[in-house]
Amino acid sequence: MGQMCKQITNNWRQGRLFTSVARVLAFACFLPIITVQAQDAPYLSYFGTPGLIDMPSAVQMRDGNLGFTIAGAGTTRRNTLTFQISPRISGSFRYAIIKGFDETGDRFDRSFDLTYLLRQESDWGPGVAVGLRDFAGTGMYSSEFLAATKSFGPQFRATVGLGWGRLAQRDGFDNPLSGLSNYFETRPGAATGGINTTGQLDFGSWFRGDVAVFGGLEWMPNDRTRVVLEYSSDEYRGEARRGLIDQQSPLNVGVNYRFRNGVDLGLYYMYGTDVGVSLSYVIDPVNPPSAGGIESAPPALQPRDRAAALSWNLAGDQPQGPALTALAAGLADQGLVLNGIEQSGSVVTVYLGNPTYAAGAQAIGRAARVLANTAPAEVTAFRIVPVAGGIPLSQVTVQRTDLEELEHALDGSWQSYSRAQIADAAGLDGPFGAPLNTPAFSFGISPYLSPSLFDPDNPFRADAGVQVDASYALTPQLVFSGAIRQPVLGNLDTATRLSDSILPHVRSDFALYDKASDLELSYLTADYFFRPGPDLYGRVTAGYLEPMFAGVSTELLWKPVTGPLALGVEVNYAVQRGFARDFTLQDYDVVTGHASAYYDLGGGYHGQLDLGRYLAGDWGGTVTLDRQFSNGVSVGAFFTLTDVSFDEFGEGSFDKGIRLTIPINWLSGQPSRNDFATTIRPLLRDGGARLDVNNRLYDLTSDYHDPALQDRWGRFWR
Amino acid sequence: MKIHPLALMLCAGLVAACSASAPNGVALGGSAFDSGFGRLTQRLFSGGQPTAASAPFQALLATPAPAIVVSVENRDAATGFLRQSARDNVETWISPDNVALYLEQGFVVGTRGLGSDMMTADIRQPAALILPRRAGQVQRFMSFLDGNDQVTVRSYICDIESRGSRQIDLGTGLVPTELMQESCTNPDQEFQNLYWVEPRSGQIVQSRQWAGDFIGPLAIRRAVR
Repeated sequence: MGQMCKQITNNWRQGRLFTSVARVLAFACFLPIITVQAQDAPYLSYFGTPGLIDMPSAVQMRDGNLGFTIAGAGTTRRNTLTFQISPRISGSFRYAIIKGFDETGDRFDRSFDLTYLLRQESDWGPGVAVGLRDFAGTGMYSSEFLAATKSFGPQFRATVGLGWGRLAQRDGFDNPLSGLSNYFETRPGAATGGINTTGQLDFGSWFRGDVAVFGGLEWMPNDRTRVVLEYSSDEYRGEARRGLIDQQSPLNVGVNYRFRNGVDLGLYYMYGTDVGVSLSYVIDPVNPPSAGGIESAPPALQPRDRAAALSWNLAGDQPQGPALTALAAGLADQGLVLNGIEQSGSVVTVYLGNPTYAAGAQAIGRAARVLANTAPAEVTAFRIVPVAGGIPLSQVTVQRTDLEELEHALDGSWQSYSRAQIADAAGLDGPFGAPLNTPAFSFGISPYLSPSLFDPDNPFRADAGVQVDASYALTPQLVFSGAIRQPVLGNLDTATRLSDSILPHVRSDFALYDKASDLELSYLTADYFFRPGPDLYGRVTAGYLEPMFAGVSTELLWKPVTGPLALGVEVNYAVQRGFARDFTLQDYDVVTGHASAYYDLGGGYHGQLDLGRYLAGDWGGTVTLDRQFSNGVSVGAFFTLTDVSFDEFGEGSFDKGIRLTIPINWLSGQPSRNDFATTIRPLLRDGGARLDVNNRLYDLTSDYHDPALQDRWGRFWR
Repeated sequence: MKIHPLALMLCAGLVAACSASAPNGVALGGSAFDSGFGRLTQRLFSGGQPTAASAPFQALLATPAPAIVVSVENRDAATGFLRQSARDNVETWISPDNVALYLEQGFVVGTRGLGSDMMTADIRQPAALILPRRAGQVQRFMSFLDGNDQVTVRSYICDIESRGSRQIDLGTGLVPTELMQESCTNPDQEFQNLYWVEPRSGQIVQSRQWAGDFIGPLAIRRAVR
C-alpha cells in the first residue's frame, strides 16, 4: 500500500465554445429545484446495489436508473454508484474504507460489480440473477452469486442465493460446478499477485471453490418502508482476523425509510454487534425535475399577413434595414445569434449561433418562428445553418407552410421532423462578417469547484474559487480564448503523496501542481476551425492547451450529418507545463495522437475506439461505451490498454474509469448548454493518459447532426 | 422550496461553495414559474403594473387585449394572461413571466413553460358537444413533451354530460351558465374537466381543464380589465 490513490475530476462541458471549464460542478450546487425521484426504485442495500443488507438479490432497478449510496457500519464505510446499464445488466463502482485494516492504517478499496438478470420474476417463478462483486479491484470483496427472488403480494419478498468467494465463508460446501470439471473445486487465493495485480480481471477464480447459501425476507408494510432480515454467508474473516469485527450472528436486520424527496435512509443491526446506517438516492435520467424545461415560451407564429411588411433588403453585400434589425433582435430575444443572412429567390439562409439551448432542434425551431414572423411574404423556405467556431455544422430547411400547418397539429413534432430537410452544410460559407448582435469579445466570471478524490490521506479534497474566462474572435474561425483561476478556499495543496511512477510523470504529479500553483492559467489558446470538404471538419489549437500541457493540437473529423459512424484523427505536440501553471514549461515533450472511431450502436448506446500514442509515449487503445439519453444525460465507462505493462503502470494495472454527464438544464429546467461532467478514475496514473483539449470536433458538431437532432426534435416546438 | 437531493449530494461537504449566489442571474427561487408566475395579479388588473413582467406582456398591457386569470391548482399559483395573437382559431395567451397557453374556443390545446408541457391537443370532438351543451361520448387526443425530450400522443375516451345551470360571478355581475362535465380515461390516466358555458354566446367563460400528469388541472376564468 502507500501508493498514490487519487483521481482527478475533470469538469468539462461539451459543445459550448470557449467558456469556463469547471464552473459546472459548483453551479450544480446552486440549483434548488423541485424534487423528483425515480418511481418504483428498489431499496438499495448496504452494498449500494438492489438487495438485502450485505447480501444481493435478483431485484434490479428500472432501466437507466442511477443509484448513489453512502453507508457505514463499525469500521467500514462504503460509497457506491450503481447504474442500470440495460434492463438486465447493472454495474457498480464502490469506494470502501475499512479503518485499521492494514498495519499501516486504513484500507482504501475500489471495486466494480456486474449483475445480469437471467430471468425476470413472473407470477409462477422467481427472478434469477447472477453477479460478480469486485471483479477488478483489490479482491477485498471478491465474490460471485446466483440469487433468486420471489414476491408474495406487494408486501413480502423472499430471496435465496448461492455465493462463491467471500460469499461462501459461512458453512461452505462443495461447489456443485465441480461435477462439470475439477477446475471449480478450489478457488485460488484472491489477488495472489499482490497489489500490483489489482485492477486485472480475476477470471481465474470466478465461481470456483466452496459455495454457501444465503437468503432473506423483506416486508414492505407501505410504499415508504422496508423491513429486511437476512442470513449472511459472509463471515468478515479478514476483518475478524484483525479484530475489527466480532461477528456474533449470521443474522442482520434493517429498516429502510424513503422520505418524500426520495432519499432513502437505512438503519441496520449487523453481525449481532454493530449498528449501520445508509443513505441512498436513485435518479431516473429520463425523469428530470422539470421535464421539457420551464424556460420562456417560444414566440407564437403570427398570421402571415401580420409578418413584416418591410423588405429585408438583402440585395447588395451589406444587408441592412429595420426589418433585418428586427430579425436580429427577435433572435436575440430567444438567446440566439444572427451570424449572417442571405436570400436566394424564395429561400432565406440564416447562419445561426446558439449559445443557449442544449437541444439543437429547439434553437432551430425558435429561429424558424422568428424568421416566419419577420420574413417578407415572398419568402417560402428557411434554411437554418447552425454555426460554431465560425464553421457551418449542418443545414436544416423548413418550409414556411409546414410551420404554419404543424404548429398546433397533433403529431406536429414528428411531421415537422419528417418534412425538414437536413443535410451537410459544406460549402455554405455565408456572409460571416461580424455577427450582427454579438460582440467579438466576451468574458465571464464564475465560481468553480475542483474536487480530488480517493487520496488515502484524505479521500475528499477540493478547491473552490473564482474563474475568469474570456474569448476574442479575430475572425469568425480564429478565436483566442483563455481562463484563469484563483482558488479562494480548499485543501488541494495539502496532498503530500508524491508519484512513485516509473513512467514519465505526465499526470501523476497533480499534487505538485496543486502545491505550486495559486493563481493559475487554466488554458490560453488560439483555435482555428475549418471545413476542408463535405462531411469534414478541421481544428488547429495552439497555446497552453490544458492545466498540465501546452503545445499544438490538430484534428480532422469525418462525420456525415446522418449515419452511425464518424472517424477522426488527432495529432498533437505537447510540452509539459510548469508546476505553477504559469507560462513556464518543463523539459518533457511528446508527440501524441489518436485515430478514433465513433459509432452509434442504437438505443442510446454509443461506442468509441481510440488507437494511438498516449502522453507517456505509450501506444495502445481506449475503448469507451456510453449510454446517452436524448435529454443529454450520459453514463459511460472506458478502459485503456497500452504497451506499458501492468507492472510498469503500477497499482490499478491499467487506466480505466467511469464518466457521468448531467446537463445543467436537466437539473434547473432553464436553458443552458453547460454540463456537469465528471470522470471518476479509481487511480490516476501515467499510462494511457490523453491530452485534454477543448473543443473536440465530435462534441462541437454532434448536437446538430442526427441522431441528436431527431432524438430531441420534441423540443422543436418548445 | 425543496432542494433536489442530487444537488445536495453534489454539494455534500461543500457548504461554502454552495452558499454563494448563482452566477448569471439564474433565479434561485425554484422554477421561473414559481418566481414570476406566483405574483398574483390583482395588481395587474387594478391598474398597477407588475415590475418584472416581460417586454411582450408590458406591450400588451398598453392595448385592450382580453385577459384571463389562470391558476395551477397543484402549485397554489395564479396569474393573469393576456391574449397576444390568434391564428387558425388558436389563441396565444401569455403571462408576465412568459408562460404561454394556447386556447382553441376556450379549450386548452397547449402550454409552454410549465414543465412537461402539453404540446398539442385535438379537441374537435369534445368541442362539438360541449359548446352546444349536449351529452355523449367522444375521443380526445393530447401530446406531451417528456423528460427525455420525446413527444408522446395520448388518446382518451371521454363522457360528456351536463351538471345543470350555474350562476357565476365574473366580476361584472352574475352570468347564467350551464356546467358541462367531461370525464376522460385511458388505460393509465383519468381526469375530469369542467366547463361553464354561457348559453347566450355559446362560449366557455370559466373552466377547469387537466393539462397532464405533471401540470395537473388549470383553472381558467375570464377577467375584466
